[in-house]
Amino acid sequence: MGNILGVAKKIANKDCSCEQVVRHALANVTTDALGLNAVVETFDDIALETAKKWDQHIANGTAPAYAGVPFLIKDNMCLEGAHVTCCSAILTGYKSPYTSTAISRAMDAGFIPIGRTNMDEFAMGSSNEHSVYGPVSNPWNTDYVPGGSSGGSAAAVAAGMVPVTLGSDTGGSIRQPAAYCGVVGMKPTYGTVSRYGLVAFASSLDQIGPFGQSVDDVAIMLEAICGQDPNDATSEKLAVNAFSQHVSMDALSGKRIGVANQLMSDYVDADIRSAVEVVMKKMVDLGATVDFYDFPYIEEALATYYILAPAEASSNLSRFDGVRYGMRHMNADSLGDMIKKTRQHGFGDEVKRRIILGTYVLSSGYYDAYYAKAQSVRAVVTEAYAKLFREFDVLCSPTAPSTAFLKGRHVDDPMTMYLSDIATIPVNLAGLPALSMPCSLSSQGLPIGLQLTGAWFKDHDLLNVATVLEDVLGFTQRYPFSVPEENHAI
Amino acid sequence: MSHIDLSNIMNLSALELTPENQSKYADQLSSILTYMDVLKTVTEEPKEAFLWPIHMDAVTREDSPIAFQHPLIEENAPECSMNRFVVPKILTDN
Repeated sequence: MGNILGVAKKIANKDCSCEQVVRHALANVTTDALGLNAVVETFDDIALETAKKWDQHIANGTAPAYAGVPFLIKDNMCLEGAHVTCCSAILTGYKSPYTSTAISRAMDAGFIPIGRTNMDEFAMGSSNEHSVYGPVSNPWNTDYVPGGSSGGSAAAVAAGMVPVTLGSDTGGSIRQPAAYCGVVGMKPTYGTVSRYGLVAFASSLDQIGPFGQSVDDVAIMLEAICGQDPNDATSEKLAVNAFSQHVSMDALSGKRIGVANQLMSDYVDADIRSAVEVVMKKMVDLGATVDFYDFPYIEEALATYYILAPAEASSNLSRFDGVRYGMRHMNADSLGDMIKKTRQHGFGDEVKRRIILGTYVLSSGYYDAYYAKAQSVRAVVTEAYAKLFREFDVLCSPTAPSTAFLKGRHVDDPMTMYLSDIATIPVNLAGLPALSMPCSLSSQGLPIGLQLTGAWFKDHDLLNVATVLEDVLGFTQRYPFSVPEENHAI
Repeated sequence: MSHIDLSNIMNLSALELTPENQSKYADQLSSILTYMDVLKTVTEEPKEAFLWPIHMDAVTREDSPIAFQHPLIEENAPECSMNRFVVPKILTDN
């Protein structure tokens, strides 16, 4: 089995070594048989050194549970000594002097980071077409986008390069590419995973989360990386939840499932609505009740997000100025001239667009009408969710209104691109946990994603429900991660 | 968004746009801001007693500076000398 537990077991039983598994994963990435461009750099030295270390621990019987399991990290997460560029020219050559808490915890659990994945620049995008390293392709059909901004992380897992990857989600950047690529991706409750070492886009919305080909793999990685962190004041004082344990196959019995009318309207592709209706029937068969509800703030939530996120980004990205790190425009008359020219040449179009928008909504004369109003609407949206979760246990919807689209289709139409996040964005505003899991294929053979949203800090319940559904839906992955041949010489 | 407004925003955000891009950005941003008008339809205000369901018990550490040194700090710098980042002059002759 190519999942986390399967790989870890093979290594623990000495059927193959950590080094063999890591070399195998590195070869998957380097070969890139499908031509995806999902990974921008491999960390061969770090990965092989860590693999050899864990092989020694395995020989001594002191290795952690997941020793040797390879994973990839989105190019906005810091690993000491490795490049981190957010797929932007402005961070060309930058190497991180520290490791993010999430990666550090994954490594403590035995996982080995083998490279950084492609993404939309500074996590701003929904198609992975806005990257200085070029676009990523969808493994199910390479004419199509993988989604974004964590497109590389989603595609790499879908292509079986590694069993698990990390991404980040600010408005749907884990869930939407998970849907487009037919894998499981989860954004936990805000505060569950430390943001220390995650290059900030919108600090009140960003969360790190895992991708996997199964709910179990996502749960295992989430368990490894979650928990309070004194380096992140927004991390929650939670007991680390055994997300992958105590899974009840009875999880849907008695559960109250809610479906938003607005997310099953004609705006959503017919194939997707049909697929979600099939899931709703299966939920009822498993003992749940399913009812529709009205969520009147869907469009307002999108507008709110595209005010608040760019506003926060305009502040967070002001640090990229060519002074201390990254690219610097050398042909400048003064410091001010240098900063402007560096940012003009260093940032891509979408990043500049969002910085301009964010600066505008925060500027004098416009602050009250846009930013203050958006904060008020954010609170109204969150109250609406609080009310919904008194009536329902889990909310169910399509993850996106369409399946993956053709490359180039929306790249010059930002508003249409933004609308592809209409189902995912409200969840980030409220800080709720949500995941996307594949439920079927469209008539064009592209994956359809089902989004499940839970109440605050009910991440374990959400994963439980997803595990049961996964078993019933029986979605088949096209490219599972394969473990190297057994090495009888060990 | 008028050309004058865009110039002001360019200044505030320390960005430069080529003249051909200014028009394109202004059109795109006008379209986005038009969509934002939907917020005017929300007349509901959050309840005074509304409490965010998260950050009820934020994690903090002692409020004291922690020294951080690493060779990559200097290695990452475009130009560094005597433990300082070297930058172009702030004031010009103009």
